[in-house]
Amino acid sequence: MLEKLKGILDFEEVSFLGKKYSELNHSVHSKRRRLNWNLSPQRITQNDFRKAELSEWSNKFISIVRFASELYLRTLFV
Amino acid sequence: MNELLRQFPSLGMGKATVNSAIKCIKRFRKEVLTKEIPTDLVALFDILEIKNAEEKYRWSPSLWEGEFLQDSFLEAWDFDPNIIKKAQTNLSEVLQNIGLALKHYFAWQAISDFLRMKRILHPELLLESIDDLRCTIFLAKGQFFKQALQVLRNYCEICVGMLYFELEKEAFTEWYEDRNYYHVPDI
Repeated sequence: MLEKLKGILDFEEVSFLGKKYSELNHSVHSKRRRLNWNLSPQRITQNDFRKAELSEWSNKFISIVRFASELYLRTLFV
Repeated sequence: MNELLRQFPSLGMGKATVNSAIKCIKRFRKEVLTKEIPTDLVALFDILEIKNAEEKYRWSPSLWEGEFLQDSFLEAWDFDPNIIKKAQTNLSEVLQNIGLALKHYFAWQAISDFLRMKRILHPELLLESIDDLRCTIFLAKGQFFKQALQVLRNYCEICVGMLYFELEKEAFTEWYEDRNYYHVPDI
């Protein structure tokens, strides 16, 4: 789909979306392994696990939604 | 403007208004949400001329659900009283980040509602994009972090998909009418 949109999005935008998508893929798959470590009782008690995971999620959320909002405003609202 | 871009419908708000809206989103502050809709979010609604924003984003029984959503993160946290002091040291920073994420969620809701109201892009996909964001928030709140990121990936796909289907109208019809067999292309 990104290939088709290359005429509309510039190089940086296409590579941003590709990179973010691949980062999300990586996070999803690597969590299967990381969760075993993160869920150790000690880390749960210290709340380190939740803080780190929540920060990772919120940072990814902000970055993707901000990009999409800007892209849609620029493409459809002008 | 290139040929492909011409194929997209446009709301005709003008470059200046759009740039102000983009600038406004970029300047969203990290903050812990309260009962009031944050001023920077209200500023975005004003720029986009969204009337009755408070009514629009109603979450019964209160008018603004940001505070509720944020508090529910705290409830799910379920602190052990013995370590609450240590946790609270970092809590404000985490909550501010969640507050910023929720502001972006409401901004996207405003943008997609606006497009839906003006019959720009397919409403099915716009509604799904909001559902995806809402779902990832609730999953993260419930500490299903892997699943929260999976749904965020869906959101990423649908954002690209909406623009793709606008250019490939036949593909949209195929997807819409033949959901069992049509395969959406890879991102």
